[in-house]
Amino acid sequence: MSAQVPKARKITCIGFDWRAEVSLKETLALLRGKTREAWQYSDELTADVVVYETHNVLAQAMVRRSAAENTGRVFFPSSSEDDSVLTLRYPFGASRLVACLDSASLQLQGRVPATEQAEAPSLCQRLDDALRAPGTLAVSIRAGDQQGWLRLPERELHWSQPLGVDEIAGLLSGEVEVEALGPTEGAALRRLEAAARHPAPAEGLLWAIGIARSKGSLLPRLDIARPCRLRRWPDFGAIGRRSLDIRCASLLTQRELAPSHLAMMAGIPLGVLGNFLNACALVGVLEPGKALPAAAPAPQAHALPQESGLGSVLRRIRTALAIGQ
Amino acid sequence: MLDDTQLEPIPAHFGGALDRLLATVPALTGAVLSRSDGFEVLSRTRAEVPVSRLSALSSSMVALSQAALREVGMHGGGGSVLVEGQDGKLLLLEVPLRGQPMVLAAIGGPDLITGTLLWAARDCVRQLIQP
Amino acid sequence: MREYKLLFAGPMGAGKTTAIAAISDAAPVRTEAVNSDRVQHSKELTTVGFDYGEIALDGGDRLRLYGMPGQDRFDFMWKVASEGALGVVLLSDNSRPEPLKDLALYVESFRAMAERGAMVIGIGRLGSGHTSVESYTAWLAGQGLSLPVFTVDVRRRDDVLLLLDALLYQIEAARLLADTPHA
Repeated sequence: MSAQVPKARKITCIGFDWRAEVSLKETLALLRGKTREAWQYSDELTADVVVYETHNVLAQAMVRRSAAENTGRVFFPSSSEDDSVLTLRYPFGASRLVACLDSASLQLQGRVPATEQAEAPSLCQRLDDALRAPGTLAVSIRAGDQQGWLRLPERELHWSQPLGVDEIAGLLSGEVEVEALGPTEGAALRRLEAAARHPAPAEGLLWAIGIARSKGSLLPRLDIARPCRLRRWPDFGAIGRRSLDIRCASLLTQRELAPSHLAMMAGIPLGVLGNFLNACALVGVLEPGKALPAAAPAPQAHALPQESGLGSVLRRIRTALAIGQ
Repeated sequence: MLDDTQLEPIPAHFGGALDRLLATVPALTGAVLSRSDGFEVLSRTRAEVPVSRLSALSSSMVALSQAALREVGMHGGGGSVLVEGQDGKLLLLEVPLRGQPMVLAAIGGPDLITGTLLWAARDCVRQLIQP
Repeated sequence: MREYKLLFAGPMGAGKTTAIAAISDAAPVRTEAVNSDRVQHSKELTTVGFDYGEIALDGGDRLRLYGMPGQDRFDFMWKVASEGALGVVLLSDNSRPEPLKDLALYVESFRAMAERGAMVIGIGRLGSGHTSVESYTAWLAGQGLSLPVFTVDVRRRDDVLLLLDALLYQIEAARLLADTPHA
């Protein structure tokens, strides 16, 4: 194999709030040239290095899964009882991050960086396209030896084995094939029916794909200027959640808003909102609003007002319970 | 007129105990015996009394007063709650029956002397526990 | 010192006492009595006054948590406690025969809070019943309400925090939107 200029290695984080994501991106930018290898942030969970929140169930499952499959990926937990383990806790300190990245470089030596596939559509988009293709009766989903299918229009999911958080984690971290099946693919459909018999919660799988496999871009069918709303709350009890998801859902269930307007009201960067909106769209709770698309983002005057007495109380309750800060 | 409300089979001596309470204290408007979770068991009334509402309220008030006593380090049952207003008074007494504790509520007009009410109601509780 | 209160309501056995115990700073005050209505629920004790827990806030203020007695003959307690409450966490027990009928009673009783978005619904024992999460949201939509509905296990502190997190965002969003004209 001929020598080549190594591509930047990829790092991602899972289980943290969006602020950790933004912080990691910014810190990486500051560290350019200070690490053994070049690093860039990625939304894909197939990145070389994954920083994970120790208490997040999906993150734990991914780590277990990856260890079992010997993927060679390097994981850093946010905390550990074992002092010898390198941990990365949010807010990420620059020197600690350098130490972790250099340690990861040593561990990854000889491993070819994950291939660039930036131009290929995200799994989220492929699945969304399949679900919306005219005449689709079912969508087949294959990941390694796991196989499942979604019956339309009910979106009932059947899987080849009981689909728990471990299986979803495995599916999120690897290659997934998606195929829309129409009336002419009766035989394939019958094979699927026979192979995947375990009923499984579709919302959890679709949500996880929207959040974790969107490549950071809004689905093409969604428009940042077109008002939309949620027809109901996603069941965050079943699917796991980030604080920003709850914040955005509380706004979008009460008022139709263009994503650009939502970003301003929620005080969350538009880039970070994309995964949330994609997940809502995949789950089928996002619907177009009745208002016309906004010609321009809503005026700044409508942004988050000064903290009122109630705002202060809500903030202090959050502090006391250590939630959603 | 005395009216008798009975939800399920109850010990025969309960009725007698309430009858004697009302006979002993003519100023009483009524007496209601409830389980500690707020269900009425038996009542004797001389006037209109919202028996089921009173049962639920009695159990809440007794439970709250017990909780208040526990918070200041006073434990043990056999407690009472006395509520007085311009038009009369309401006395709630715990009835520590084994297995199914109950609450006795006694309602009286403004002329009813508190001491008399307390004495007669406690005597009624004794009869309920030891026939 | 200022005090704020949150309510926990729902039918007997839905887990209100447990939920408060999961997040209160100190062991909650309980007002339980021997449960004689074993047809409604098989548990030994049931709340007849209210459960009370509290959470200390910055600046010396305090958040009071009140667990309402579940049975509807205690609705006087619901009315008393509703005054000035920030919001209410409704817990449903999906293993009961008619969970949506239960829900209707509590939504109606705490209607004012539901209408200003200060209500969140946690469904317990989802798998032990036949009512789907969609049925809950559809019923609410029929009432003109769009409230957070989550499947939860209130024995887990994290699930209780999810309910509170959503409730706080709901209250905040309602206020924010009230201050913001339609686009």
